[in-house]
Amino acid sequence: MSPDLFGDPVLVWLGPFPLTRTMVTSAAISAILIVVAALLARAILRRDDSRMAALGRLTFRFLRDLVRDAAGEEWPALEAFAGSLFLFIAAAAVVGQLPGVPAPTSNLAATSALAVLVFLAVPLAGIRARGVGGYFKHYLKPNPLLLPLHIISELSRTVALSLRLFGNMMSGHLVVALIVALAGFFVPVPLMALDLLIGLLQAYIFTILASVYVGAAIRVGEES
Amino acid sequence: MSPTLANFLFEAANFLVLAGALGWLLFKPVRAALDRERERHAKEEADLKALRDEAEKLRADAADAHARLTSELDASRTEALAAAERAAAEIQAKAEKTRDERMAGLERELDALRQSQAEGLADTLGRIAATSVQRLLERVDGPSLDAALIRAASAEIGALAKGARAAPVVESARPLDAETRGLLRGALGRDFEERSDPALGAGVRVTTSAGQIDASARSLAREAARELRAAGLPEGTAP
Repeated sequence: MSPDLFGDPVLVWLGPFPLTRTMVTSAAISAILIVVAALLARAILRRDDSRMAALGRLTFRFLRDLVRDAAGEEWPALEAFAGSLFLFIAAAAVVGQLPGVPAPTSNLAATSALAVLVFLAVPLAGIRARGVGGYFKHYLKPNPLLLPLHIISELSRTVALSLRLFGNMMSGHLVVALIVALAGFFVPVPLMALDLLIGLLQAYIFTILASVYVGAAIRVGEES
Repeated sequence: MSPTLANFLFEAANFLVLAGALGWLLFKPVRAALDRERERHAKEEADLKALRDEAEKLRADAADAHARLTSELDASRTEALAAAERAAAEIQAKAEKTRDERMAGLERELDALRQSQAEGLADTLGRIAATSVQRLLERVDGPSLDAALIRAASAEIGALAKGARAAPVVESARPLDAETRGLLRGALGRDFEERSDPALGAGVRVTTSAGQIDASARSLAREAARELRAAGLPEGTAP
């Protein structure tokens, strides 16, 4: 594990497109998640009473309840989106504990990409639920003069999402990397456990916030 | 392309692919399976509720039928009891009527039997009395019973008015001798028609236009029997 904070070494250039270590890690995490999800779904569909099926059900119910409690109602597309966010960020936190493998979420570009996706998902969900006029009208309430503040709010919370995740994940890795550099192996194990806990907590927080934002967009105008 | 921008774009695309794949591979089938399971549970619950409702309805129907049958049974029992009581009363009344009729018939038969026995006894006693009187008269060497009776008849005829002695008929148990015939002719004041009737026993019976004078042993016996009846026969023999 290196103390390289912001740099993301390019492993290979595919023409003009650089292939970085974060990309490879993210792709690997995604592949693993997809395989595991396929196994869980297969177990649920074929062997309803197996442990894998029970694990799949528990995972699904946990994510569904998490999203439903935050968003206020069941929304299958939101469940898939927010559930994928949780699984990806949590898997990144776990993978980040492996020596020499940086968590994709400790890269600002990666967390920004996730935050931007949440930012885009909010109006998409609002438009889908309320229509274009019904959704964008709330930017003019309670007074059109507040439109800039609404926009700043949307942008700032997106930036906050990105920086919160990046800062927490990067700091944990930085601390562990510094201690490894100074004291050697096995010493930072408690800190690694704490880092894993923080990573899982950040996955929970990111998912909750994304669900709240999207849920608010879905229910926009209901209060009036 | 800068590595940062490439990273950003790749991460966004990677996550969209991941979300799509997870939605298609995990969330959609698991949600469908859970929905099916929920629907199955709901259906089983609905079936159970329907069965429970049906059982409740059957129980209520059974209770109603039981109550109805019990009521009908009570009514039938009451009706049968009343009919049986009526029939018993009718049978009892009929039996009492039959008993009364039979009792009345038996009493009538008994009365008739008593009457006939009393009459027979009176006749027998009369005959015995007449026979005894005749024997007594013979032993005391007095006139025969026939002569005594004819003299008694002649005395009664003599008490009649002369107009009441027309068309006389004299019936006797035995043929009259000249003496008794003359005695009677003298009493009647004219000739008379003679007839023989052994059933008279002794004496004569004279019939005139005014009536009949019976001075026969049978008449005496009847008189004795009448007297006996008037005096009172022993218990069970009185007519």
